[in-house]
Amino acid sequence: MSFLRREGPLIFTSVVAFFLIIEYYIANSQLTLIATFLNRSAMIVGAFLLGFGIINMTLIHTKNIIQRKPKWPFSLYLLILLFVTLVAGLIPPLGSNYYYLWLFNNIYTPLDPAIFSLIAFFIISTAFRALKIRNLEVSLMLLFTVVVILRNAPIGPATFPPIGWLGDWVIISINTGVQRALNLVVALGAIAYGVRILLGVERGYLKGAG
Amino acid sequence: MSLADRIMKIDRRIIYALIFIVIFLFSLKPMGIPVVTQPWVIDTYKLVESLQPGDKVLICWSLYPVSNEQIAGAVVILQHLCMRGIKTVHFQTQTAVDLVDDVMLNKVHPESYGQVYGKDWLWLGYISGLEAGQAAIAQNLKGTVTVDKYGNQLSQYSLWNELTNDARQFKFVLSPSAETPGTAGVLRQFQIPYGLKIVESGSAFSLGSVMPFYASKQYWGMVAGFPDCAAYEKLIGKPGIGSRSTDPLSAMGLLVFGLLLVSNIAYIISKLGGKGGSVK
Amino acid sequence: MISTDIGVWIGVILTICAWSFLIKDQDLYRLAEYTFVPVASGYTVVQAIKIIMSTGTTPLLGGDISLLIPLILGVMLYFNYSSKYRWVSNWSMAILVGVGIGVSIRGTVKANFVDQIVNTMIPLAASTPLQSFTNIVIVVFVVTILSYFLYTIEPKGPQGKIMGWAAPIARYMMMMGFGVSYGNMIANRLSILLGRVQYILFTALGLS
Repeated sequence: MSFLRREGPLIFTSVVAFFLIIEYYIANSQLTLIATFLNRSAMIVGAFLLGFGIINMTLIHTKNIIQRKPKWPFSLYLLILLFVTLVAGLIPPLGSNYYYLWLFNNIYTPLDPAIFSLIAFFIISTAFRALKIRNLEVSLMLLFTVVVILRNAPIGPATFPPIGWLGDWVIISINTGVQRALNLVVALGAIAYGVRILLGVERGYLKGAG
Repeated sequence: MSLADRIMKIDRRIIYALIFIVIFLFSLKPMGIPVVTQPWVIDTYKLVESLQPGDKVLICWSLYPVSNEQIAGAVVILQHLCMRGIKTVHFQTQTAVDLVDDVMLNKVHPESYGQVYGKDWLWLGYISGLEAGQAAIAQNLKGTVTVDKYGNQLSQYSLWNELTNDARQFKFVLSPSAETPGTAGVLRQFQIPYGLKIVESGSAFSLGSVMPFYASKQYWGMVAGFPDCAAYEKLIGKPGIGSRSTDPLSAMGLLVFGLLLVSNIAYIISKLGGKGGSVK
Repeated sequence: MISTDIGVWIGVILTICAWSFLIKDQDLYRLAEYTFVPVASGYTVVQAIKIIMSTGTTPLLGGDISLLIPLILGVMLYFNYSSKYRWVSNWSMAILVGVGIGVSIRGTVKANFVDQIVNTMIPLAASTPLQSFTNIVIVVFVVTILSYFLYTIEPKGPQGKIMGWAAPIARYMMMMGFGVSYGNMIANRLSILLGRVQYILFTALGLS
């Protein structure tokens, strides 16, 4: 039973991953066929993952309503709206009818950036408070933040071209050096993590393995 | 409390109000500030110009409605592709599929360039699995999807019947990207195995992180942010979202610079005054 | 011309409700948040159902029996909610992780590692003095920052001394890079805000 719970899935993960890596380097139509099947399978299983969000949300907010937690009417509103969206989407034609698109165009599309745009305010007020010439590290960060801000604002290069040249040079040279080094480090870490999963050392993705 | 201390401890809502005032004001009053055309924008333009009518380009969307800059960049490149008579095949790795409908039908208007759906452009819809989905499209396009976003059989469209399973049939991959797997996935699944050129429609934020890839020519070109978008619009002679966004962006940049300058001057004065001046 | 579309004005009102968070955390913001979350989640699930049907159940009913495997694996994912049979979902996670690792690692080695190293080997004496200086900066930055991180065990002796000397310099170099990222991030977030403002001014109020 332990094999089905733990070793089996670990071996399955390794076999699938190894197969896809080997298939990448060997041009063979049979291998490509199996790789395509595996990719399509991951696509389908990945789509099933998207259901977890609404199940968890429903469980949490139903509990809020039953236990009459503070602000529970908002939880009721959320569940009603979720139900409405699902019904609107499932009415034929699936995912294309008027009400579903209305919700996307008039609720989803405005609200996603509206909530995200709050970050703009927080980022600027944080910069105002934290980016001060306290020590060399913060001063360097402040200097390059200012150079890039003035470079990104077209009025900077238009009124004072050297700021544009300096900003472009900073992005092409200093930024490239830093980002390249960080990319290499992250890539090394990703490869190491992948190898750990391939070898079955990393098991965090298995729940209920006992 | 000295003036310097009061400035450093200013209510953040005053800063928010300033941001709103500046952005609303300069959105209504354009200043017509010229933009600089960056080398990566020129590379993108030249790449599209080098294509022949009837050539095919793959568009790998990885966006949500929040991705304003990427949408603007994608619109202008798609307009250029339509102007050149290039055929496009679209798919999205995120679930916000109706975003692409909005871009193509309400912003790009391919029909105004004589392009017909099914003959000149195809919209395959959402492809799940993130990078596995990209890999599936790269390896076996015709085996992965059989219906388009609207639920119609793809076999009825002439463009679909022209396509093969060879990813190299596409001249390049345009990647309007903000999310995972985005252009990083396109790099691994299309550029490395098949040698396809990649063009990213990204944000100002992504410009820094993708510059090493552009420098090593793994990315052929980019349109990253509103200034690049405005420059591209100028190249193709179609002012749009980018051009009207650069002026408020300029004003905002100056405001942020001004705020940083004021806060640091206040900090220095406070320090010189020997009052400690540390701010949480 | 002012928009007469009620949907546009609902979007504007909800946008303002979201922005009310800037004054303080209040019920108006909660209204916006609790409107966005179920609509976004419901929208996503409908798209998931659509792709499962178009790439899974429809071809299965058309004769492609092999698709039964991923469909069963997908259903098995939901055993995660059972405390007794949670292990069943491990098999579904196994294929997701296996494919995910397989497709990403094989490209990462070349794209993010080999090619980046190869392209760091650039001539330090280039055609122009500025290009030479740029190349020297890139190489020095990459090597110094790489030396900042420990990959195996901490080196002792002369190598350890060099790394100890290079570490603070690498930190300063990284702060320069983070400053560039921060500046670009400010521009990006402002552009998101700008999009909403333009929506209110141009789409809703019809100003130009």
